Amino acid sequence: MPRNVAQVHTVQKRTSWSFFWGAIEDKRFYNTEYTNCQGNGLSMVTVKTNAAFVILNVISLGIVMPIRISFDCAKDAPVPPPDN
Amino acid sequence: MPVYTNYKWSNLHENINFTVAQFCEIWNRNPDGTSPTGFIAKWNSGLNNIKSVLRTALHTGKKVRAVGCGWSLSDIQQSTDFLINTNALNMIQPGLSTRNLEAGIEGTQYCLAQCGASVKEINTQLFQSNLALSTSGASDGQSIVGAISTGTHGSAFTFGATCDFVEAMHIIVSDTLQYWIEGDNRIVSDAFILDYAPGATRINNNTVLSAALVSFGSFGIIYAVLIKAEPIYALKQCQKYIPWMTIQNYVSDPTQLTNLNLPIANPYHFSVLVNPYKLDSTVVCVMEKVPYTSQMPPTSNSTFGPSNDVLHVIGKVSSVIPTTIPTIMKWLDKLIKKQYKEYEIISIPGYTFKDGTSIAKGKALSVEIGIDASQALMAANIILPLCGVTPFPGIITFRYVKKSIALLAFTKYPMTCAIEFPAPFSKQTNRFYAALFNALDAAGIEYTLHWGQCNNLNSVNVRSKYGDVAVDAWIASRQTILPTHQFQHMYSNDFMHRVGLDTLSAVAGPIV
Repeated sequence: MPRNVAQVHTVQKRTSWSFFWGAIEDKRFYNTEYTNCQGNGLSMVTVKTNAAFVILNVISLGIVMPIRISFDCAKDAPVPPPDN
Repeated sequence: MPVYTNYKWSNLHENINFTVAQFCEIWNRNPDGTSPTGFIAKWNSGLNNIKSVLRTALHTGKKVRAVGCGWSLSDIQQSTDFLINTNALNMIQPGLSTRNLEAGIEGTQYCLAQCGASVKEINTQLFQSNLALSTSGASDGQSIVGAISTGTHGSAFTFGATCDFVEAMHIIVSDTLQYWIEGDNRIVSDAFILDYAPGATRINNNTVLSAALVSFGSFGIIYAVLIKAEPIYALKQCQKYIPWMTIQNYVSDPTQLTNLNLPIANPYHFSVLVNPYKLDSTVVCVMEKVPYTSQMPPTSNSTFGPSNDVLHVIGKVSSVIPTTIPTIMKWLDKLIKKQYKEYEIISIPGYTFKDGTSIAKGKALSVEIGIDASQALMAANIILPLCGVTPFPGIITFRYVKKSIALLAFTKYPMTCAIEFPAPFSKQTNRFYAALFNALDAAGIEYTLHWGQCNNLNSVNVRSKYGDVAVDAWIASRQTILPTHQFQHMYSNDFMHRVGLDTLSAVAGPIV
């Protein structure tokens, strides 16, 4: 993440699933409307798991791997003010 | 512009959650999504995008609310129809040229900021122009308009709330109705209005401005504010651990602080952070203004620390077993002291007021009351014993602020002591807040409540706390800005109705 970039605060939260040790992955985050940042990059990404996801992962021997992703877009960089 | 339907919105502290029919994210972009070339073109593209949303809302009879960074802990921003996210509108222009100002007004200390610019972004831009805000809240993550329009307190004896540095604002009511509001005296020129607020009607009226400053989104969409900053200064700061038995002698009269023998000659800021279960060591911070030098301490690097979830865990435990709270809070005191270390430094305001108690961004609640500073000790003598009867899983901070110019500012006393009660989200925290309000009312202590924090405001106690004169003047100003019932409905919500501030004007006016 670039330093000193502020968030837009439209935090998107999604559960991403991958199967068979990553052989099949979730592609909904590849340049879709979820990640439309008006030409800017992301300013924040958080990846979390929880007890239920860990248990599911262990029971399925890693075949099912859910993970919770939160992300937010970056605001525009400062624009130089007019000279007048 | 991105529009999300049936959007589930949560505030930063996750205590306010609701679903809104349309969540509109506004950017400084052309209708085709491209970025305009030039400062003024970009500035006005955001304006046009807001007008477009308001046109749709007006013609479909929907209510509208704007949100910034979502720091508010009360339901003032709640809407079920249209919610506008203004955060991406973050343009800032420090310094105005003579062309943009009335004759004889010096523009170097003025700063024009769009509504979504955060306090941190403004601090950064001002610093590059050798300027600084006259005061700040405890933190800098709020959008500037969110901070001022909820009446966020400042941090200085000699200056009022954060809204007091705003000298003008641009309010958009609909696609055809907008205002540039200043006090009685003109500041900007007509050429400025043509460039930055094309089509806006000028209002020069101290009362309307002081009403609009703390209006929590109910006067329309505040698109921009004109800030009067001051030349860059530094703050000499001393933070010490002092027993409550000692510091209690100063909480009602901070002018006596020099008797504490701290290395601060002319106090500008005074705050006390109290863990109610560890009174032998409160965190006392005193600051004074000193000239700026380039020898400022570096910002700290990130390290390991409590996650956002720690508040959630504490909240759960304290709800289930409230009797454990004193023990938990004594144990947590080490963590609190790790965040609030003893130090003596000199730093600029932008590096100083950047975290505060609001840094914990997990599920949280907070109440902040404003009382006349002369009654602070009396209030403390009610509050601290109350924590023994109804355990409180949080900390208590005392800060001191000069009276604000805003009609409904909660810092309304000559010197207001703002007492904040941040805590994890839990039933026990809410039980404590209810007990707190009852205890203060029973003791006959007059107090106001921060609009942007949890509160028990209603149509009766709003008038008793803020006074009929201020409330009536505020409502009259709102009816000036929103001249018809259609507009008054458009910018109303459940909160406005509950506190009795959505009074309709005598004449309904035409429907657009």
